[in-house]
Amino acid sequence: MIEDELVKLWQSSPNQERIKFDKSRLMLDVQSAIDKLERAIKFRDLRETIAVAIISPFFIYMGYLIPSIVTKIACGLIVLYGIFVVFWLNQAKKHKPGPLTSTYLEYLRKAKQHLDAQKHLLDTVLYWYILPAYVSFTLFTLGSGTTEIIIRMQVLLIALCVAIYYLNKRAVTKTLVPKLAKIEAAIQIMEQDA
Amino acid sequence: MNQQLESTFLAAIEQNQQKLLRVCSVYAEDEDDKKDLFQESLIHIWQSMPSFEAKSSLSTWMFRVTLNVCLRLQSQEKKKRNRFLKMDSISFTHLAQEDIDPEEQERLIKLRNCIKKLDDADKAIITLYLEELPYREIAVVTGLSENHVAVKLKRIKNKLLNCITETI
Repeated sequence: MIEDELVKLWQSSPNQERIKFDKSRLMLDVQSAIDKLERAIKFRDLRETIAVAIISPFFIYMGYLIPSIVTKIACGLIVLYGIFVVFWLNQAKKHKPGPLTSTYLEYLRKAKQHLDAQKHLLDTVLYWYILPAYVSFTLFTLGSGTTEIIIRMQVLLIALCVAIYYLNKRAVTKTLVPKLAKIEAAIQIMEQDA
Repeated sequence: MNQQLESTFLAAIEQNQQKLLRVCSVYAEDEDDKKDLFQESLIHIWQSMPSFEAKSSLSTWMFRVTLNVCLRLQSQEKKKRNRFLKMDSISFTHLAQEDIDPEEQERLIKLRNCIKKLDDADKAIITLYLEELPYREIAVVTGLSENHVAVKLKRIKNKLLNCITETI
């Protein structure tokens, strides 16, 4: 098969499938999809902030209500921890995949940077998410509960921390690492023969 | 201004729809996936229209956005990406089987299968070539130099022709 034939054959596919547009409705459809997409992005970006805004007053009130100094310190730490997590996640969100108008190679490189940042975030989840939460909530229960409650809370907390750690590690190995490998391979292929 | 942008967009889509659909077909897992990629590409093309600087032709620029959308969505789970796609204004119709030359259909399937076997980057370059974009335009879309495109195309074409010959 010669090259011209390949081109001809490739371009023959529209003879087998037709696309019909309702022009008057297309723009409405496109705009509505964009609006939904933007609303979802806004919600995703605000999700953690909303969670912290809800949780913080509760712990501030608990800190005021429970007389134990340890609990008061823990409540302060939990509020600070919430603010820190929001800040940290917002910093991570700054690494976005490149604009879709970039060249293919540029877009691949930006996508790699984005995935590297995501991988780093999940790889270090123990230090910025799990351990601070564990320490703060342990202090909270130490100051406000009986021995039985403290033991039960510890079991629950440890189980939760292990689950969060495992899920993040799983996301790295099952999702991010294969994606990164694919992107790296594509960059390598694009750059070879230069 | 918006009205003008809208008519430019609609005219460009009308003119390039089949080409863009063929690009999407290379990255799609199945027919539904192809439609999703195509619709999502339209959305992002419209969204990016104000940033089009006319450094290349509009159709070349549309190829660039479509390829990047395919690359982005390919790595996303299907259930996550279908949330925004309900565009009833677009319909896809297949011609009746008797209208299609079976021999040509078979060769086309072979060609598509061989393209699908290529790496993502090679797929992008060969698709643009098959859409008859000049090397200069392929370079604009991919970010490679014209010479680099020429060298790569030679290698990819050999790979593709070998694959097609093997399957015949």
